[in-house]
Amino acid sequence: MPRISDPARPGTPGDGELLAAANRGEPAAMEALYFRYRDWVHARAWRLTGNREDALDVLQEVFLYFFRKFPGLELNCELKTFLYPVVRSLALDRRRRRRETPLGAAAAELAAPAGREEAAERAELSALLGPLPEEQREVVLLRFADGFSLQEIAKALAVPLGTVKSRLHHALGTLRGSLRR
Amino acid sequence: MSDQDQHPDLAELEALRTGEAAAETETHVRDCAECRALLEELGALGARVAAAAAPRAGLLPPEADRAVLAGIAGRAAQIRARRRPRLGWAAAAAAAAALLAAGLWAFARPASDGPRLGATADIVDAYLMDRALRAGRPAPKAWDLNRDGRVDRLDVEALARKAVRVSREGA
Repeated sequence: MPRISDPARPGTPGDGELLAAANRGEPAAMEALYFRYRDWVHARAWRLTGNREDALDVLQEVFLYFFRKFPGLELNCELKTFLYPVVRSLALDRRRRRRETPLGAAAAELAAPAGREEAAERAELSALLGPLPEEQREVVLLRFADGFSLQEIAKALAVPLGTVKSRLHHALGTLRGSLRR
Repeated sequence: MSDQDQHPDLAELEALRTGEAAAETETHVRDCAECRALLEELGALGARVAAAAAPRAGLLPPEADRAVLAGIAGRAAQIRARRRPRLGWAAAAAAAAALLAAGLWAFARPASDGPRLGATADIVDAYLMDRALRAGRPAPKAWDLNRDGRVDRLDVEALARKAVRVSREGA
């Protein structure tokens, strides 16, 4: 369930309160939700598309889709868990249209124009996760970069919990081996 | 748990970090130095992935917000517009129900061309009397409630006071 109050930011409304206000058509609540999750969505969109322009398009599409759900949106999970499949679906659609596989190739991670430091950091991520199949890489990123619980990953990817555990187990084994070499 | 060495597998071990591992895993790790070392290693690995994947500040150009904010303004206006007619319909429905009730009440009343003046008079009888007088209809002498020899506005007030008194006593 989305939190009603936000323990990390005392005095600021939690997602639950903002969702309720958004269901009443209050633009300030919708904007607050957008700015709260904008960077998170954009980062995931870029990660999944590997392309700066596509990521911006996905960002807009995700939120336009999200706000079309109002009024009447009721969540029984965290908002990130709700948003991730939307980001993923739209990003993969973009990728299909471009016929690219950015998660499968380190070079594609660097395809977007970026600063030297940023490029170096993205190269580090690509080098680190490069040995993993895409489905395992996604679980690792959701787990460690996004802080999802195993249950949330299963929900976001619409796969059984056992599948998530299996992918994580194999991914961690591969990563340990590659880091030791 | 692995069948071979009874150590938890890597995902099960890592699940300890978020409290999602089985109780037996927790018990095992408490007594197993090898697993504790492995858990520490996995923690470091996860932190390294998190650091490498952390979103960079300033990636998002400010103009990216424009389309979404415009979409929000439009959507919010749509939602509020949808809610307004709903309230309008509710008010219209309430008014229609009130009119219907008044109509039914009027038809249910005993046939009469004027107010009832007895003990059952209510405020509507005062209204009917007032309406009849304003319409210039002939007023029976019985409407001269204050016995001043005229049927006028003062008799309407007298009937209204009586109706209120009866109503309070009835309540």
